[in-house]
Amino acid sequence: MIMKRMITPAICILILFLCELNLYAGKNLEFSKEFALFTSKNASGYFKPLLTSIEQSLNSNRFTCADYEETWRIGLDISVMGMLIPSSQNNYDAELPQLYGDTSVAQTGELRDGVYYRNKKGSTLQPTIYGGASTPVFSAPQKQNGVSEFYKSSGFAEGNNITFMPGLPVLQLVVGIPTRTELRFRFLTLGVAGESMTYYAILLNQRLDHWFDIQNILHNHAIAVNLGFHSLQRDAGIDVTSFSAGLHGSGEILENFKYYAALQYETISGSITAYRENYDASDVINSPYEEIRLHGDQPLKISVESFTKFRVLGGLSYKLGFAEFHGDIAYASQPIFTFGICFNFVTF
Amino acid sequence: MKKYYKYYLILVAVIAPVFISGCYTDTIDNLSEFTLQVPITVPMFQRGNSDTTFSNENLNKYAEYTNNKERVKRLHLYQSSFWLDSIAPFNSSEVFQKIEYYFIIDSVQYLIARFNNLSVSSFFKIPQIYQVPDDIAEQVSAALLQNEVFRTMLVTTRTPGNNTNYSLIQSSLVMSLRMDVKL
Repeated sequence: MIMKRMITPAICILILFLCELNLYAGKNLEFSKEFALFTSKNASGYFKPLLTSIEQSLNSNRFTCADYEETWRIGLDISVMGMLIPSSQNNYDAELPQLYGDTSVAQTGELRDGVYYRNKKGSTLQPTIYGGASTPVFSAPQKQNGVSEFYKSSGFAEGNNITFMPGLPVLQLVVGIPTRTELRFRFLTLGVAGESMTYYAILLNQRLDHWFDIQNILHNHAIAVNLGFHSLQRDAGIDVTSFSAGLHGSGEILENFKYYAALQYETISGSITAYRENYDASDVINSPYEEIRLHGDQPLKISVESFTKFRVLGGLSYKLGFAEFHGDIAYASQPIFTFGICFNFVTF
Repeated sequence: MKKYYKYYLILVAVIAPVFISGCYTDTIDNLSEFTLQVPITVPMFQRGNSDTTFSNENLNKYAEYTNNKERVKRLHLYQSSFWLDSIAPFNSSEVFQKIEYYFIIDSVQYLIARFNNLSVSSFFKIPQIYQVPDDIAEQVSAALLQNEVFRTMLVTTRTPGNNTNYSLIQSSLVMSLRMDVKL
């Protein structure tokens, strides 16, 4: 009987995963030519807020209420989210060509908000992918030959003026275990530049309060610990992992209507490595950046980092039959709103 | 509730992939267009004593443009900069009353840089920068999308009484173009 009840949802879940499955032959990841102006460091700074959004997406909808029961349960959770982008993530310190600032090689200038800056060295403020207009640095080489001739003017990518960013939606399998444990699994493959990128996550939620004699203190509240691991891999080019850990608790407001709150630590690390598409030395020979001019055939390596380390969240959950509607708001480096539905298909 | 169970499942199985694809599409749409700033350097070279220097240009000469031209949705002139590379005779204290750069396309002239009372020392291999007014930038941008061939013109106005016979004026004009590129 149990097996019979499980077959239908299992098939449905399989169909969902297969819908997202694409397999391709392997090859290196490539950036199109417009990204030829990026150095690895500038690409990391430019994309960091976007990578933060992705990291926050991965580490969202990890749990709802902490009152996990001593039953088996199989369900499917679908969640969406959106993030507010703070102005502090609109700019980054872009690295300048190595010899900018050396006036025997080049005299440089930039006009920013009506103010003229000369011969800056090291770095200059430029927009991230979520920011606004960039400011070019004009450079007058001081000699017509030697190293000076490479130190020409530099342009930077502009941002897209994004203040709200939808996160990556989450589709996850939810399995409850009678030890008051909940496991969540995510698996997705997507075709990225001709090769499949695989994402999977294993997320653990374990209720704690029943191990201690504290129900007379907690009353109808529950406390749980959560741990999560995410992996995002593409054979060549993408190698990213993310961890999260935290505590969450919940309590009942009305029958089937509950609140939950959490404190979570999260991190992401890894790299995205990509070659310049149809690399031709003549395209980059004039770049003032040594990394591009001398090593343009080498891959661009973007360090994957997030501005977010901690989040504090509060949310509400409402159960209607086997469906649980949940939504929460979290304070993180990009404040985040999430909403989802968990269908608990099988409970026994 | 139980009798609707199967229908719920089917509904979820059908809606979820569509819903998820839609969310991805929204996210990707937000990021599918980039604006790049590409500085294009136009060398201006004049022999002989004249107050006007011309240069014939074609955007297709510049790899920064040709690399992206098929995906360029909009070109927008943002800032322009210029400096003197060489001038003969050289006198660092010489002051020019006015220095103007014009962008000429389809026989229409657009003023894209103007500087008043500049001494040679202040722009000899030192970039001077001009913020192109929005209305001019828009007109130049619209014209550039129609025609990749253009001319630039440098007009120098000397201070009254300056009768120096300049045998060479070599300068660089850099136009910072914002290119909206659809990925």
